[in-house]
Amino acid sequence: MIEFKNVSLIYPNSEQTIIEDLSFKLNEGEFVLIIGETGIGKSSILKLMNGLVPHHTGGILSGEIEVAGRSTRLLRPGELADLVGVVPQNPINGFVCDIVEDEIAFSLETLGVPLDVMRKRVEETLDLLALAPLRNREIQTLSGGEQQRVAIAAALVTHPKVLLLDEPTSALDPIAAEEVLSILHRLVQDLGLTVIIAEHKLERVIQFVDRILLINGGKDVQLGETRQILSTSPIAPPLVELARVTGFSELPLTIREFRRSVFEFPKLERSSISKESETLIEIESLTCSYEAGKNKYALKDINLKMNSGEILALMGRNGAGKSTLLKSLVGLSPIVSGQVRVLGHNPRDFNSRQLIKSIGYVPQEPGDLLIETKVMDECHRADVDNHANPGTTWQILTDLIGSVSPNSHPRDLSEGQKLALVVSVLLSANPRVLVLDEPTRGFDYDSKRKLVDTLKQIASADRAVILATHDVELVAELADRVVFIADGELISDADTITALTASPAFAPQVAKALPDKGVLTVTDVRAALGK
Amino acid sequence: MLLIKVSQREMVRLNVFLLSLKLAILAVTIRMIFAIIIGVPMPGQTIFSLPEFQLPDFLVGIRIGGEVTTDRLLGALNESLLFAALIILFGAANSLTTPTKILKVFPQRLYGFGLATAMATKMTPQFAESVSRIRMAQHLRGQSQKGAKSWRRIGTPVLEETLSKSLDLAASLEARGYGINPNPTRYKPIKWQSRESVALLPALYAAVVLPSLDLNPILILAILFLSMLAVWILK
Repeated sequence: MIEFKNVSLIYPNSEQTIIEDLSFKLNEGEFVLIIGETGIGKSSILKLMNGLVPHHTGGILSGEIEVAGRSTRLLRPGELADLVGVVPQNPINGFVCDIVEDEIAFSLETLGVPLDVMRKRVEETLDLLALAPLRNREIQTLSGGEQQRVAIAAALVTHPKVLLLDEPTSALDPIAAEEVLSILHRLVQDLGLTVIIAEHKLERVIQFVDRILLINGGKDVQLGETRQILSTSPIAPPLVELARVTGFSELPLTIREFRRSVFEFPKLERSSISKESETLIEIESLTCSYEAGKNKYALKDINLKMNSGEILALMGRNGAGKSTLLKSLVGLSPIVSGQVRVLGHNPRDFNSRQLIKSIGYVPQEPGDLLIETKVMDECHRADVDNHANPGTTWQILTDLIGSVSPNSHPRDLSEGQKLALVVSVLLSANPRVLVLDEPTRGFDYDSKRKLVDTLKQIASADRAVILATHDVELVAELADRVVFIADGELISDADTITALTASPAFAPQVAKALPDKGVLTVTDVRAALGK
Repeated sequence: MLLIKVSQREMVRLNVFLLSLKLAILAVTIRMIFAIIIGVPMPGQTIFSLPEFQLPDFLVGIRIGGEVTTDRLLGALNESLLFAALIILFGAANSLTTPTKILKVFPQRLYGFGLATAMATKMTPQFAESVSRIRMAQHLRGQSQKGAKSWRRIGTPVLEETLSKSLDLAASLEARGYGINPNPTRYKPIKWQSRESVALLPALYAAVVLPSLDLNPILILAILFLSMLAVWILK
C-alpha cells in the first residue's frame, strides 16, 4: 500500500538530514505504529505519506514514495485526498467549519461528490464514529476526545485507503484515549483500512498494532512485528519493561497475556517516612465560577492542604476544573466563596515581586512565558528580573538537563528542554510552590524520566509541587498524593497507591499486571524483587 | 451596535467587535489631538489658543500650536468619524461571519485569495485569545503589563503562534483537497441570513458608493445607520 524507496529528506538551512536512505513497505489493512524520540522525524514520515512534506513544508526529497501506486513526489496533497485521510496533531487548528456535520462534509464538497452520495456518506460516518448526537454542535464546544473523533470522521468520510494520525491521544484523558483507539482498531478490522499512527504513550497503543516502525535517527530505522521490535527497543512501555525485569521469554503485549503466566511475586512493603514539613497551600471551601459574575460553577466547595516536600497530582477529565483550581493558586480564578492561602497570604494581594517569590506557575503552553530569542538571553533576563545572582538561571538549567546550546532559539528546543528552561526561569526566583499544568504533552519516555527526577529534586528542597495531568504512568512515578476532580467537585484525595489502584481506568500498567502487590512502577518491582 | 445585539453568539467574536470599537475610539482621539496641535490656519470662531512654535521657513503653511477654531475641530472630527466607521464595520463583519462561509462564497478558482481571506478572519479571534493567554503567562513571570515594552514581549509569541496556527489550517485544507477540484459540490446550499446582509450591505455602501458622492461624513453615518435599520426591518 505504501512504499518508501531510498527516501532521504533534508530541510533547507538545516545541517542534519531528517531521514536518510529509508526503504520500507507497508501492506494494506495494517495497523502500524511509528515510535522514536521527540523531534526525530516521526511527523515528517507521516507527512511524506500524503505529500505535505515537501509540497507544503518545503524540504529536499530524494528517492520515491508511492501510495497505492501514486507518487507523492508528483502529486500535490490535495490530489491524494481521496486516498489518504489525515488527522493532524492539533485537530482544532485544522478544522475549517464550525459545525460538526459541515466539517465532516467539507472534504466531500471539495472533491465534488454529488449531493445524494454525500448525504449517505455523512450519515454513515456520523454513525461509524458515534457522532450522530453531536452533529449540530459547534466544534469549539466539544471535549478533546470528541474533537478527535470529529477529525477522524472528517478524514474517513472520503473512504480513504490510508489513515494517518499524529499523536491522536496526547491531549486526551485515559478514557477518551481508549475510546479513540478502540474505534481505530475496529476500523482496521471492519474496513481493512491501513492505519499509521505516531504516538508516545505506547502503553495505550501496542495491544492494537500489527507492526512498529522504530526510528533511532538518521539511517537507523527498524520495521518489524510488535514483539520483535519491543524486545530490543530502547523505547518501551512499562509492561514490556516489567516483563524484561521479571524475565519473560514471550513478551506480553496486554495485561491479560502477562497475567496468564502465573508466577510468585512478593508484596512490596512500603515504609512511610514522615518528614518535618510546613503547610504551604490552604484551600478552604473554595467555589469558583468560569467567569466573574456568572453562576455556573467551575469548582464547588473544594478543601485542600499541601505541605512542603509534597508532590500532588491533580487528575480528572478534560474540563473537570483542574486548570481553574491551579489558577486559583495565583489569584486568577473568579472566586465566589471560600478562600485560598498560599504561604499564609491571599494570592490576589501579592504584587508581582511577591508572586514570583512565592509561586512558580508553568502554563499549559510553557512557551508563553518565554520572551527572548536565545536561551542565554532568556536566562540573563530571568536573573535580572528575579534579582538573582548572574548565572543562577543558567546554572539551574544545566543542573536540570545537562548541556543545551546557549545560542539556540527557545522555540527550537524539544518539548522537554523547553519545559526545563521555563522551570529554571521560574526557579531562579526561588519560589516555595511550583505549579505545572499538563507538563508532559508530546514527551517521550526519556524526557518524562528526566522530568520526574527534576521535580523530585525540586520538591525535596522543601518546596511543594502540584501538577495537573492525564498521564497515569507519570503520576505513578512521581506523585505522593493524588486528587481527583470531577465536574468541579473533589472526588477523592488519597496517597498515590490508594488512588491509582482504586479504579482500573486510572491504574498504571504495572498495577494492573500485578494487582494487590503494592507496586505501581517498574522501579517498585525492582525494589520488591531486591534488584 | 444593532448588529451585535442581533447576534450575540460567541464571546470570542464579540471580543473582536469590542476591540474594533476601542480601536475606532483611539483613532478618533489621536486625530483630534493632532488637529489641536498641528494644522494649517483655518477660519472660524476661536475656542482657545495654544502657544505657537516658530517653524523654519521651508515648512510654509504648517504650524504647531496657535489658535484652535471650530472649523478646524469639526473638519477633523468629520474625517476621523468616517475612518472610525470603517473600522467598526470591519469589526462587526468579522464578528458575524465565519471563515467557512467566506470560503464557500468564494469561487473555487480564486483559491489563494479565498484561503488568505479565510485565514485572516479565522485568525482574528484567535489572535485576541492568544494575547490574553500570553499576557496571563507573563504576568505570572512577574512581568509588568504596562508600557510599550510589554507589547514587544507579547507581540513576538503571539505572532509566532498565529503563524503556526495558520500553517496548520493551510496544511489541513491542502490535505483535504481544497482547490484541487474545479467543480466542488455543496452539502448545504448557503442560506443568506438576514444578519449577513445587514453586515454586508452597509459595508459595501461605505466602501464603494458613499466616498465617491462627496457627502458630509455625518450624513454618511446617518445613511449607514438607516440602511442597517431598513435591512433589518425588511428581513
